[in-house]
Amino acid sequence: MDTIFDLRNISYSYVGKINALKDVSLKISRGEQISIIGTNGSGKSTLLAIPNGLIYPTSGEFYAFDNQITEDVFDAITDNEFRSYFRTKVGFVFQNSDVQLFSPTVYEEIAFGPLQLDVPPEDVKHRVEDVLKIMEITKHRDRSPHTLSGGEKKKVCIATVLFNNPDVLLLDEPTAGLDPRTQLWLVELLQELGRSGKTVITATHDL
Amino acid sequence: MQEAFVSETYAKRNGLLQSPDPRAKQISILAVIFATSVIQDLDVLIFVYMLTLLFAYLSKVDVLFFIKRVWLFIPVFAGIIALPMVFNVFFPGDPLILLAYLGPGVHLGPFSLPESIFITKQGVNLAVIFTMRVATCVSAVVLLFITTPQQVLFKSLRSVGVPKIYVMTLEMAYRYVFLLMDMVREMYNAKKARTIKSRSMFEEQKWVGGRMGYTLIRSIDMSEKVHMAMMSRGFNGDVKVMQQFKMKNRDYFAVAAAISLSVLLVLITQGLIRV
Repeated sequence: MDTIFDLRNISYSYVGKINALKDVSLKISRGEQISIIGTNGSGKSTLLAIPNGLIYPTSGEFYAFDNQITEDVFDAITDNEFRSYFRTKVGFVFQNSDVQLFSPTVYEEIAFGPLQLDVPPEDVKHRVEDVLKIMEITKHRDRSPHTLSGGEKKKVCIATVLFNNPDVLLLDEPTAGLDPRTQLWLVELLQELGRSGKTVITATHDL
Repeated sequence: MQEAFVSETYAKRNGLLQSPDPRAKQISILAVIFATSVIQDLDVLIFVYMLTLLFAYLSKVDVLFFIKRVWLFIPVFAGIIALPMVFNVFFPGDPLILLAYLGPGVHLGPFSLPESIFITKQGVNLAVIFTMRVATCVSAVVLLFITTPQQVLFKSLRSVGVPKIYVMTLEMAYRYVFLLMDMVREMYNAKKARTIKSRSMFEEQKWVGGRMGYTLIRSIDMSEKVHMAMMSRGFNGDVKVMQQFKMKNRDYFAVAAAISLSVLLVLITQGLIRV
C-alpha cells in the first residue's frame, strides 16, 4: 500500500516548554483505519494536528503524499498548488464542533471550504445541496450553527469535510458529547467510509 | 440573547420588508435616515415616525414590541442630551413654566444666573424635535435589523463598500458572542451553585475581574482554534465568498421610492416645497 503520511522522529512542545510529543515515528498507508488511543492530555490531538498541517513539529520531519510539509511552504499567503491538493484530500473534524462551525449558516459553512479551494460557485451551490441531502440536514440549511444540538453540529462538521470527498479523514474525539444513537450513526458512517477506501484516523479515548 | 431570537422570528415572517433585497433595504433606510437628520419640522418628523410604525405593522412586527424597543433607550440617550436645552439657564427663550425665582444678581461660582429659572417654549420645541428625530432614525434602523436575518444584514454591508474581511469578522463575532455568553452564564451559575453566604462587594468585584480575564484567555484560545479550522479547509488569508444577492425590479423601485421620499422631505424642510 502507498504511504500517504510519514512522520519521522517527530517531537512537539508547546511554547518550547511543555513536551506533547517526543520522537514519534509513524507511517500511515492509503486505506488504513487507525485509532490513536490515549488518556486525556497524552498528546492525541497534537499528534492528529500534525498530519493536517495545522501545527509543525518542533523537531523531526513530516511527509504527506511524498512532499515534506514545512511551515515556510505551507503557511505562505501566496497560492500553493500542493497545499490546495492537500486540503482537498485531507479532511479534519475537530473535537469541539463550535470551533469548526464559524459561518453564519449551515449552508455557508459547507460552502466555505470549496470556495477557498477555488471550486466554481455554481458547482458549490449544487454540491452543497447534495451534501445536505446525504447527511439528512437539509432542514437545517439556513440555521445558525449555535442553534443546533450537539449531534446536529457534528453532522454539519462531517458534512463540511465530506464535500470534497477527501481520501483521508482525521477525527479528533468524534464521539465526545454525543448521545448513544448519534455515536452509533457516526461509527457506522466511519466504517462505511473505511469500506469505500478512505483512510480514517481517529483520536479517541472512547473504547 | 432572547431578544436576538425574537428578532430572528420577525426576520423570517412573510411581511413587506422581509422580502426585498437587503441591499435595497439598507440603501433605502440610509436615505430616509439622512433626510430625517435634516428635518426641522416636528409635524414632518411625526409623519416619518408614523411611516416607520406603518411599515412595522405591514412587516408583521408586533408594533408594541417595536415601540418599546425604540423608546426604551431614547429617554436614556437622547433625553439626557436634550434635557438641558429646555431651561433658560442654557438657552434663553420665552417662559413656559416658571420653576424658581432667584432674584437679581445671583451667581453660581463664576457663572451668573438669571433672575428666574424657567422652562422655555423654544427649548421644549427643540428638545422634542431632537428626541423625535433620534426616535425616528432609531426606528428606521431597528426596522432594518428586525426584518433582516443578521447574517444577511452583515453580508449586505459589502454592497455599501465594507471590505469582505471586515464583514466576515463581524459575522464571526456575532456567531461567537452567543457561545461566550453561554460560557459566562455557566461560570456565573457554577459560582451561584457553590455560594453558601454572600460575600463583600470587593470579593465580588475581584471574582468578576478574574472571570473577565479568563473569558478573554478562552476567547483567544478559541480564535486560534477557529483559525486552524479555517486553514484546514483551505483558507490562506484571502477569504473567498459567494455572492448570493440578486436585485429585482421591485428592489430598484423600492430604492427609487425611498430616495424620492427623502429628497421630498429635505425640500419640504428647506421650505422649497410647501405642504
